[in-house]
Amino acid sequence: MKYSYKLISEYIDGVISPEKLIRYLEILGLNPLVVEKDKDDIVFDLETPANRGDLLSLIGVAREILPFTSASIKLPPLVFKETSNRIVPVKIEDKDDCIYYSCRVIEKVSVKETDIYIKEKIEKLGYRSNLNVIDISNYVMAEIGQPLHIFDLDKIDGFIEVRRGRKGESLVTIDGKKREIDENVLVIADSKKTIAIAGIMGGQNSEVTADTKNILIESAIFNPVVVRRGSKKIGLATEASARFERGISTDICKMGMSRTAFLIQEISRGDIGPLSESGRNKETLLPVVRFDMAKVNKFSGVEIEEEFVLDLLKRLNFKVKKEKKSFVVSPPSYRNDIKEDVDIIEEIVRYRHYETIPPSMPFTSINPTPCSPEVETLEKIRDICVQLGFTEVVHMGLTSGENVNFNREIIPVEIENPISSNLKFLRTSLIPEMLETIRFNIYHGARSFNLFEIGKVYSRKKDSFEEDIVLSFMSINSGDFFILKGKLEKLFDKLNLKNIQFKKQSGIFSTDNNLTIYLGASEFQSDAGLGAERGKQSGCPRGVTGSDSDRQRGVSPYGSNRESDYLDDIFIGNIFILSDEIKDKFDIRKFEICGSEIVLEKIIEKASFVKFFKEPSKYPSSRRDFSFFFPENIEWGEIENTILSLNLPVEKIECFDFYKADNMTDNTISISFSVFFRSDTGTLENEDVVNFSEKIIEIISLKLKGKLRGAGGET
Amino acid sequence: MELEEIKKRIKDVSEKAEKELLEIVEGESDKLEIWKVKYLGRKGEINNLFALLPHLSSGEKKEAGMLINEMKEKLNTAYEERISITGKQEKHKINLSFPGKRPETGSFHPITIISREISTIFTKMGFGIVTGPDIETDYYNFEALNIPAEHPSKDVWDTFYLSEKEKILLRTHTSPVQIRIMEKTAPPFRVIAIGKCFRRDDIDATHSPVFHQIEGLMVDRGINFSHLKGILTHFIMELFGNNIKVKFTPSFFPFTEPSAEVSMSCNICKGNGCPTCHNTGYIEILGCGMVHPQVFRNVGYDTDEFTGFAFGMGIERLAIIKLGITDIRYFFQNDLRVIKQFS
Repeated sequence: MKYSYKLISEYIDGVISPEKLIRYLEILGLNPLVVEKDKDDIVFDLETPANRGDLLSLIGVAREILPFTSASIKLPPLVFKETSNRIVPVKIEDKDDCIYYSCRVIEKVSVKETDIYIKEKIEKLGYRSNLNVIDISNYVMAEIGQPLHIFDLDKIDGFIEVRRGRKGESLVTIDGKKREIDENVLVIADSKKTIAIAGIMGGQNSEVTADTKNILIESAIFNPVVVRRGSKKIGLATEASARFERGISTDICKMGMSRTAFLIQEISRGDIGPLSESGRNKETLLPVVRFDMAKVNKFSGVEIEEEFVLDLLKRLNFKVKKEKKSFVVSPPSYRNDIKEDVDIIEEIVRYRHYETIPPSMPFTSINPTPCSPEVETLEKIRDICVQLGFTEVVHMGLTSGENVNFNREIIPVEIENPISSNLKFLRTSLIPEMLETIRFNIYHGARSFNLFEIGKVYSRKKDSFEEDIVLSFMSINSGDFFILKGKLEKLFDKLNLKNIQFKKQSGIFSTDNNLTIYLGASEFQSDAGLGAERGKQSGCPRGVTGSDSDRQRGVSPYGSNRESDYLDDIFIGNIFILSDEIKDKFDIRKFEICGSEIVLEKIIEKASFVKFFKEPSKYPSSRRDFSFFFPENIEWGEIENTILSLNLPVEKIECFDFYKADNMTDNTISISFSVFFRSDTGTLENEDVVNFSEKIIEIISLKLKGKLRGAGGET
Repeated sequence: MELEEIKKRIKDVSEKAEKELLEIVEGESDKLEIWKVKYLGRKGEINNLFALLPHLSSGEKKEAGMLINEMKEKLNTAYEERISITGKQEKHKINLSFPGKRPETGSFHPITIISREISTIFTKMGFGIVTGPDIETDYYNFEALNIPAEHPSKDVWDTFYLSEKEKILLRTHTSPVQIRIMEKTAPPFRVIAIGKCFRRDDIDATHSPVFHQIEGLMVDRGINFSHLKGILTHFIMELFGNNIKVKFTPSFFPFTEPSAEVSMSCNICKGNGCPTCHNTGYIEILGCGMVHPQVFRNVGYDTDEFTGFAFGMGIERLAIIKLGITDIRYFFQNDLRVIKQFS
């Protein structure tokens, strides 16, 4: 509904300017928004709180602003004469569903178009004008807050019954729509048929028309929850249902009935019959709330005068009694939002005006405050990703069935009431949404870019739902696979993660070009002299597809116990060259796309940012370059680990060349690498380095069947 | 073409080249380079001679090929000698006025940028950062927060259900984190929680079914409404600048009482009225209030001893105001032309 200054003023015994009215409503937080203004009136909307049904009425708003003024409330006339004795009996099936029901007959009513006088009021309130009796019922609803319904008496058979709907039943409501009804919907019926949906809308079969001669007015209190369920069930919310859902008091209900009868008799004459009622016709015991000034001040942070409080509560129509230091207060029946002392405190602070309470800083103890451990690590990971040149994206995480089907091993979490089919599931991987974003940006002219996202993925387990934090990288036309792999390795290095293993296995986003990544369970650190450092500095072999750099295997000779080593390793993700098949699906065929997806839970657990100084060696390093022919399926990790197993003072090993020449028909590849020797304890002599080199050549030819092609270097 | 003819052609080219070379004198390094391209270049006259060979017999081919190669070598040597006379070509002058080559750098999403700004302000005031699950139960999302089961006050949180029967849903706000943290923490404490929230809103310029919120909660002895105003006023001025005016007006949330809505003077029109602030000069930015005693009772806190305040705000909304982004859809579209603007 809309509110009008002029109409509200009718209920105030005194004069308030429209500007003041608006100002008061602003102070009270009802956010008046003026929609119409003419020379002597303003029409406005209000944002009324969901627990204040009483403010959905002109009288309610008049009452609300009274404490700012010296005026008092002026209630409209209600007294009329009963000149008919016709009565329609009322039955209530369940008094929990319908707390109170009353109806009254008016005979010989002159139903016609509304007088201009009522019509103007009705339209100001935002309703469409109708027949006079309907307009009156709408006006009384806006005036008092009680929804009313008017039936054509001659279309009603026998009695009125309030009961639950029956399965299979339906009713055409006055808006011309057929409503399917079941036992969740409360209805009004007569002895033969259903005539209205209780608290929501009347039926066409009992509707008042221009030919109506006799009417039946309904004023009732329906259970708020039942009305709400019914409204959701049939998908219809009305001005009436909004008020019933917020709760109506008996006083208001009775006043609504009398006022309607009075106005109908005054405007369209007719003979009013006696009240027919059922249910609880008296207000139940109103709540008694006890509060004291100390608590008011404790909550508000300012000293509020007792006099102000007493005056306010009286002007709000609260009954107040002082008992020693505390007040015992009972609110008027239409204030069903007042239940305990803080509700009173809120009223006091509102009328005191929030703006008059000065802001201040709390004096508080400095004590450790709870902090989720992952937050800081996640932010550090985010920083590293940006340092590595990735741009952050954020996706909704709601996605289509197609997108969660990439990984059929995960049972996706499905939304029961989605807004659309492409937002029906919670994502099981960050990649599909990434691919959509890649397509979007390619369509908009981007050609080479790197993306990352940190977000949750969700899955349904037998009897639980799970969510995991995941990191995803995507590189689009930004160098080959090894650039991305190198960045990932850099991230692991920065997180100080030991024992990361890459294993060639087929993945969801690439069957052929996918490495599965494991975090080794055993966290031993190699003591192999300077070998311990090599993990951090070793260069990444270019062009060796599917290499498995088993980094931390330096001490145990490669090959032993390999199976059992993997048993305890934790899966943390994949890195892949996106398959053409998936590229086609997303229409991004022409682009080189590599990606990775990492589960962060274990990483967060094991990551460490602790740094400790290590003195750089004072002695020079010596470099030796080696070129070998290896069997084609050699893995870089094997070469590295074989050299490290010698326990030589190796500082780092760098692979600098790799090729398979056309004329090498014998399934071998040529790999060239440099080994840097350095000792902490002295300068390495040339004989030492020569000796080391011989050992390396020997072990490589022995264990890895490497054929030396050439060696050399500098000291 | 016969072998003899080709031999003659080779001789002609050779003589012509030598003659032209001799004409190039001191200082004419440009001319020398042009000569080199003309004769010795990849498509120069000498290489072109090879095109004449295919018709010849293999013996003749060999002979002619050798002749061409010999001549090429001879001219090469002559060229090298000539350089000593003409002087080396001056090094190409670099025009430094051309634009630099900018490396691609990474950048943060605006949601991260604003979240970090906000959390920095609160962590400076001693707030800890906590998290909670996106998949919640009706109890944490509604019931424990004093939101009645079937009441119109629930209407603002139109909920996605994963199982309505089992009362499992996607959290509609970050407020459930309040309950979770209070259940395992004894006061006093102060925390903020950041995360995704989900509501059944159709997508338009100002609504998104997924958005981010920051929630705050402070519980201690003697916390009052004035402190709530103090902390939040400070926060808003830190985020938007000291010239911003902050306004608290009454509002309604089931989990706080008294409740307030906080607005700040519009940073776009400076309070003069514009479409962003609906001509009111003020923009709503967050909801807050004193924690409702029922919420404390639900987690077993003594309501006589402790009071507290809570607040919640939408990160996208703050980003829209702070960064001037015009449509909430930009946050999830991930258009690099948008994200890169804030790096």
